[in-house]
Amino acid sequence: MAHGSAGEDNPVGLNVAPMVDIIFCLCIFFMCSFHFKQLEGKFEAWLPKDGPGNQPFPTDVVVIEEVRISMSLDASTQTVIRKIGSVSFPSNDELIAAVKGGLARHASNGQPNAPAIIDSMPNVPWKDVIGVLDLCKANGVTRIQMSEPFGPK
Amino acid sequence: MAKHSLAKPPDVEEATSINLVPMVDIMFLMLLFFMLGSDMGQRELEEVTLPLASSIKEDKGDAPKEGRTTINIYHDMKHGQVCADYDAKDIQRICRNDDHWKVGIRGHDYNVKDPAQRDKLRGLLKRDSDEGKATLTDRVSERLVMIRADGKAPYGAVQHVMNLCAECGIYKIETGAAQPPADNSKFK
Repeated sequence: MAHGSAGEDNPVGLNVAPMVDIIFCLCIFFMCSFHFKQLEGKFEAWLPKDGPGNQPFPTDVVVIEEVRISMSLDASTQTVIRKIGSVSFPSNDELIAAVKGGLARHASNGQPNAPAIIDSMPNVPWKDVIGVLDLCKANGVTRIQMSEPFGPK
Repeated sequence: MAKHSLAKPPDVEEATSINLVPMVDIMFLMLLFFMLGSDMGQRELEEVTLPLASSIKEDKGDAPKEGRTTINIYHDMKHGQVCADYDAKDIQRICRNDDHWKVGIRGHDYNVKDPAQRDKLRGLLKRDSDEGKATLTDRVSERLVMIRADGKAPYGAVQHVMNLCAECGIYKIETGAAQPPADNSKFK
């Protein structure tokens, strides 16, 4: 008797089968509903405190003191066309060089606070707008604005 | 010799049983891993494929005392229909049907092109905006709005939401983006 196992000594046994069943079910539930959390970040922005469309339009001499990046979607090829003035910039390097060049010109003309304005058509994918915003921020352009479309909403 | 060969083989009862203890241990560990790893509490966050950006600030989910409203803009169709122009994994396919793009707040969908639904959305944002005002007569609210838009969403949908925020006196906006996979070290 001294060599008997603990199970033989203890007449009350623990039935683990239901517990294993439940843990199996829980495991399967969590495995099926599990997805790795995407690392998310944010860009901070500020809207005009006067509300949309309430900014006074300058009635005196309009001085162009901005670098406007126009974005539109070519429906046939589903590609986004990015222009400054009438020049198109398909590559990021060319675009950021043109933006920084334009801002540097304004700074040398006494307008160091000239912004880069992203003027996008409503059908342009958001990822392309964010792409330009990210490109500007990554290259040290701090004053970035997004334009509001003209006309009825 | 003959006597030995005719004898019955000894009746040995084999005491083989599966030892469940290591399996239960491992299953407990797996259960803990999946329970802690799943993010079931984030009801406000819809399944959205965020655009990628490398110069973003980490979003720790912290909100000011005035609170934060999360607005999701995502592709959704009624009754499980499939849109031929949308595939979350295919970058080239872009759906431009405005009815398929929904604005979701706290589990409710709104179509900003529909005036009635836009008014409901405006009312919701107005209530949130009022919560962030020091006094109800204030023009602007300190309430923060996080816009989580799908990368393929039309910019017009984001503009609509921004306009509604501005109309309601909300001026602090955050736009969500995801860190590119190769550059995750920034967040660690």
